[in-house]
Amino acid sequence: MKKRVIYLGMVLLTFAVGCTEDFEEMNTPSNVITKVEPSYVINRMFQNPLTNYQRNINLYPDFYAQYWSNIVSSFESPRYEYVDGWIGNQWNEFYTGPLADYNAQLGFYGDDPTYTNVLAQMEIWMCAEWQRMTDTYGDIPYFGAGTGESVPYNTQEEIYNDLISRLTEAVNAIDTDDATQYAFPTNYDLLYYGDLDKWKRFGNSLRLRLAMRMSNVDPDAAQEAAAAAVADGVMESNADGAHIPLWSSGWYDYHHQMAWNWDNTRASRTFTDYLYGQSSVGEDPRAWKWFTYKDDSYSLDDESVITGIENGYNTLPADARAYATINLDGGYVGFVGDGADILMYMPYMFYSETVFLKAEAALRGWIAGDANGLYIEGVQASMDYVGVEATAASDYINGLSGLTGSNEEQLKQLITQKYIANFPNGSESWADFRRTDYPDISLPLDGVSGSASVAADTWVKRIRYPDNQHNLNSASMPTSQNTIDTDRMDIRLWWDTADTKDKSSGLMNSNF
Amino acid sequence: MNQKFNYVLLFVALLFIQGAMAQTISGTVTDNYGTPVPSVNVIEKGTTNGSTTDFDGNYSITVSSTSGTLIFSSLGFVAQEIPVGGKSSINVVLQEDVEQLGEVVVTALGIKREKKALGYSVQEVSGEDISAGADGNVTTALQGKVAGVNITTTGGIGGNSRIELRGNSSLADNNDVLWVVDGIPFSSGDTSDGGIWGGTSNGGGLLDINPEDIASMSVLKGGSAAALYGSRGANGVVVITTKTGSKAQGLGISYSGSVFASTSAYFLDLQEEFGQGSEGVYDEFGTSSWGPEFDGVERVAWTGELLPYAAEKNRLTNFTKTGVTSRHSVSLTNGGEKGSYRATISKDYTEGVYENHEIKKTNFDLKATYEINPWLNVDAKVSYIKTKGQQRPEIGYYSLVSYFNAMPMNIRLEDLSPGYEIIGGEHVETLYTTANANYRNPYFLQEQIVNNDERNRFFGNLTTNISFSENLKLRLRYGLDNYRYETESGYRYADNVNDQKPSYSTAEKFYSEENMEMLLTYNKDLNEDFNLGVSAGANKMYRNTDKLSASSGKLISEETYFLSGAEDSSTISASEEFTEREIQSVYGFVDLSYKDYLFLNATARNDWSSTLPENNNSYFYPSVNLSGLVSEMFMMPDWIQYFKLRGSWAQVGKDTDPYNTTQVYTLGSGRFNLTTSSEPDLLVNSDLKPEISTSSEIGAELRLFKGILGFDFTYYSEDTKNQIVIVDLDQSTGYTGKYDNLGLVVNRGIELMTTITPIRRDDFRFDITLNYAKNKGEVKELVTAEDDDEFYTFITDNGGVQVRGTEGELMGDIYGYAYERSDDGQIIIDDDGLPVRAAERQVLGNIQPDFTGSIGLNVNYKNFTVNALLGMQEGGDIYSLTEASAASSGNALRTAANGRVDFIADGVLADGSASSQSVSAQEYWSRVSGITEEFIYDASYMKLREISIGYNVPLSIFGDKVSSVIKEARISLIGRDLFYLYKNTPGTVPDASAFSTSYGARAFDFSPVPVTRSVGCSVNFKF
Repeated sequence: MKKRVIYLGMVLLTFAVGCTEDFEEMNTPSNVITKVEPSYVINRMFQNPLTNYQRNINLYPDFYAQYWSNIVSSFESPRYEYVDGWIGNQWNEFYTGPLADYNAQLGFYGDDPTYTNVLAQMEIWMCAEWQRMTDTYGDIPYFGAGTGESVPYNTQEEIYNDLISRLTEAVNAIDTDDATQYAFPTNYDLLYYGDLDKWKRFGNSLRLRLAMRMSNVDPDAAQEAAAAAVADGVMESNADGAHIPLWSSGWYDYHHQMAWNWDNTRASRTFTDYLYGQSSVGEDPRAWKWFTYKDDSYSLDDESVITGIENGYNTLPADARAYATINLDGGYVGFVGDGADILMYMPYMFYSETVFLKAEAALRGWIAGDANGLYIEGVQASMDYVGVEATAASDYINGLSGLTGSNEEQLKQLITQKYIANFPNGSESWADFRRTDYPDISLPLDGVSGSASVAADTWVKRIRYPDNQHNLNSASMPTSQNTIDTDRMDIRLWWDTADTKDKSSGLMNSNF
Repeated sequence: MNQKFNYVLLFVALLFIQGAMAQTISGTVTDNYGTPVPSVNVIEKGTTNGSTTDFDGNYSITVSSTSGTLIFSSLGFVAQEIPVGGKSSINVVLQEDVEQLGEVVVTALGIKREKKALGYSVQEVSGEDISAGADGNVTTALQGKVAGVNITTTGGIGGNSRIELRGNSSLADNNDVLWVVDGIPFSSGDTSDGGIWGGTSNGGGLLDINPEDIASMSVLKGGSAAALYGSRGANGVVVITTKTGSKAQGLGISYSGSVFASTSAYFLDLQEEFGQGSEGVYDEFGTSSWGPEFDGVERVAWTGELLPYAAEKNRLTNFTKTGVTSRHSVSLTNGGEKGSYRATISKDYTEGVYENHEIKKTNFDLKATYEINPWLNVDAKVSYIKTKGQQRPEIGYYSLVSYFNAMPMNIRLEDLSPGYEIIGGEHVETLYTTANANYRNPYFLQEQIVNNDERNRFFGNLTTNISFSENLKLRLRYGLDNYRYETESGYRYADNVNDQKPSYSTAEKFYSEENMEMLLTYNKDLNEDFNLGVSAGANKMYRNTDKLSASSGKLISEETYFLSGAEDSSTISASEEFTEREIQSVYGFVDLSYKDYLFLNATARNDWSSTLPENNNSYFYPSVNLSGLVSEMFMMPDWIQYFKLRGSWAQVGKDTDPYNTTQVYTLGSGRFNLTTSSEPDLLVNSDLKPEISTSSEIGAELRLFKGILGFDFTYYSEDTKNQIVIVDLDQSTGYTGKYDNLGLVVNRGIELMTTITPIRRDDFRFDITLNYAKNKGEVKELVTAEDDDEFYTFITDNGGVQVRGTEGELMGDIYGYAYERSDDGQIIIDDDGLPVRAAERQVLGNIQPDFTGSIGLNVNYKNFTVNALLGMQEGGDIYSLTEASAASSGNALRTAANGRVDFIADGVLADGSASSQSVSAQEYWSRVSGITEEFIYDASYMKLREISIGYNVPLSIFGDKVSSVIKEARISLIGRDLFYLYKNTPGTVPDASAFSTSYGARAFDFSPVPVTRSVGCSVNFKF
């Protein structure tokens, strides 16, 4: 018996009882950090608009700007239907992605003056992304968003006014001479590789873009902000353009994939029509840089000109794949990259866009300068960027009639060339079309879908809020749009003051 | 073949050893109804010499003295001693032991208890029942054998299974049942599920269990049964006891083997009238079957040849092969005065119906017990298991089934095969249209895609039993479950859909779980009427996993299919993952019985878990249960032999996964090889509490008419609250969700087991077993302060369909798109003449069945045994995404219904007037394929799950020499899943078509790995 008790005692001693002190350490993973370097975040922030490019941008803004057309029969968006699993992602990806990351950075480094420059760079980028968000939806949660609590929606007007002042402050905060400042390792700054002057010009150009968007709804504020932005210095050359590089190792060259590998898209007929007859030379020298015909089972009768397919088919024609598609061999750096790591660039803001913005400001008399001269400069900038040879470019430009006629007529000519030059930046061109109703963009060929929340024979004007908001945050939404029925996609945004249907003989009377 | 030859040699050798034995006594043991009693222990008194009766009650024993005495004993019968008295044949009739009418079952912590003393329902399945169907997969072998246990399978051979005990109580779909093998938790981990967009299915750790080794399985369904297992047993426990050697039995050898052939079956109904093209116009590169009607006239095909334009029928049937499964298992048992052992080796080789889809398994098991001295006994077990899965097929839209269901009906297998051409030394896919992810060549994919895995596991325990006195005993146990799991996945060849191929990735994971356990038991008769048992125990569980994964990125060529073969070395990436958790527990229980007819049992356990916040990491679970034998307390009519009433109550808590309570940042490698990190999408919650399930059950057991009729009835209810789930957040908060305690789910149900034995004669016995279970799971509460959402989404937007649990409703509502209808219910037609899809999703059905059941028939006639098992489900709905997809491509049978002439769709225009716009079938089905309502089916079915015909070969046919050593020889013919007696789905099956084992996936009939019918035979020999 004694032996048995000793045995028991030994066993109980080896049995570690009741020690839970190391539980907390055990429940913390060993391969993590608790404070994140700014560089680890900035490179991800640049990727945000591209991560889900097809669903967020191509299937909506790109189709609605009519740069591209859909050639998949079952796709809903070309006839204005909303699909939450597509563009609904944009909301999620912005708020839980760059916004949450940026807020965390402000928490880590906001009080440390050595981080002023990098936080200002992030701030400029965030302002650009905020504008893309509000231009997609209208009113959105803004002040206090992304901090773990639900906040009220703010009006687009409030957001625009705040963004203009944030951009002004951020540009002014960057001190290009302060050597004590933390700087991103240059390869992490995928936009400007550490060139702070370019960052400043980008910030001012964004301010000009915001200002011009308000041209019809608040011309006074627009004029003031546009003049200030130009005075502070906007982009000066194609080298200043904001282009996001896409890595060749991976699967991020969306246009290539969509048009070529997945056979989802072809050039839009609307856009390809604008590549002919604008200049007396006939064909736009950029046409074959951008487009070609895929060597395929199908072909068009005349493949000597670039022809796209109409937007908005109900049932696509059998030969839909025959139409013009992206040209990967055209030498256009936007599509073919630098031949090394970078497969493609996605335009975020072209230099030419800045020039066209200035041209419009000049046309309106808001800044000094010759509107027509700036207009020509804008076309030239685009030709240079796309890589058109000098004589072909000058022939085309010389063949243009220049800005003539009434203000509306001149604006239409200006926006039309801006539209061509902005290709393939669908987000920006759809916004321009909603603001100015130029150029002429068609309704879906087979009409607006009966399942869309856009009235028949009416243009789509915004994207509805995602299911997530209707399900979880409807109390914060604008009361006129807080149900799926009332959250319509033909509601005009704050800066969109006129109905495209009021266009008469190709002209609006709302832009001046 | 070589291996089989070796086995034969082994047997022949052993035959000679055994053949040297002397004279024997033989006979038959029956009960007082004349039914043979198997497994009766026959022991020569005063020796360790013993034998047991076979299936037909026959025994034979070699005695050392003709003047000795034989003892016949078996559970449930009064033991008998019979003097040999020089006889060479002794037949015995055993009397049923009324005291012991209830059998002994294994309960929590491996404690054997008389069933009559239990205040809750336990259903035990014998090893024979498990192995009778010769199914190498323990989960599918359990199907239909226990009331209230719902098992759904997916993914073909070696695929994942979902085991649900008494319904789904978990919003987070955390329903993992705890498996315990010989007292030690057995990891069922490393399962995988495919999704709608791909992935593969893997049954994980449970595949490692060898059904041949199982002596019995106890299914502890309710909270009371499982309370002693604490948090890990919250979803129920399956307790497996493996076979052991018998001290009394001497050397025994047994062999069992089986061969099965499985063929694919149950494909979607397809039309065979129309081929490739669009709107009735032939197009040799078309991707759907909206072309002209088949006419047999030659047309230029996609291959460039002139081919007759005709339907290529039964493509999937012809594409798949017959999968052959073979299993061999040899075991050796031996025992002496002090101890015994059992050693088993099994080989299992299972083929799927796709080329190279295989599961290979080796089980080695050694279990021994030894009595060191009268107060110290040691049990040890060690198992080594190797399970290899090869070429597990893709699931979902990119599965081979999906490709065939979408492929124009005239595309011929012979033109697609072999799937590639070799160009410049590389495999180039043969495509019938432009390269596109939706139109691939299945022959090519079958060889291009690689999904392999291998697990090497050691599992075992060392148990010491110490008797301090007759009343006081201590059990100490150390158990280890340890394995290495490797996976390899990749694309062996390049293709034209994604230019990042070929590619290769590999991962390996080490898993280890240790359990140290002690249990001290005191048992005493307090007086003549009262007996008291008190036990106290403790357990420490520590589990950790280390995982290392690496992938190549794009490879140089198919020749460099390995990690360092990357085209750009910077794309080679690696990542590591660790988890660690510990649970410490103390527990105890008290058993009090009165006059052996009233039993009270109370248990208590406290766990401390490392995965919960410090202030919430301790939780306590009590249970109490009561059982009374009414038939012993009161006089009963003659025809009632046994009447027991029982009731129980229990509360169980559950912790969460590691690392859900602290906010941390991981580092990753992003584009351009830049280091990235980001704010996690989930907001952590440092206030998490354990989940709490409160369950109660009452039941009755009856045996009537001398055992002809038996009933076991249970009513139960389980409330699960504080569920730890990811609550969706308003995304503008910056987070998609957070871990939170939420909701109350209530499951209530009844289970009824009925056994009927209408015939019980000497050589003819007929048993019928009916299992019936009805469970309704309801979401009682869902809303919290953070969350104004009224439903929980189990499946988000697959093909437009969601599966939800809405507050105040049954769990598992199927939400999808209905037709837009007018006030009087007519379908609204738009200006195009097509039905309008309603703007918002609405409830179109529910996945919960009205009831599930099984019918088991068992006939023993002389040497023949026939077993049949039918499984069924009544009610519940299923959405056939398989058919909806094939409807849009013009392949579904329904799309050819009216000869495809243009027609005016049924319904009215929005203003109520009739539509005059005619539409083509293509236009119509393109629209309707997106309307969920059209493809909802009743999921009711009844199927013949298993049927077997066994024959006990009379030993006499082997001749005297051989029959003296063969104790048993048996041959069986077995069929599994042979046919459905009824079902409603369009060619597909309602019970095995889910794309994953997640709760909501059963709402979908969607392109699974083909379901099979199997026939085979098995042989069993005992020596």
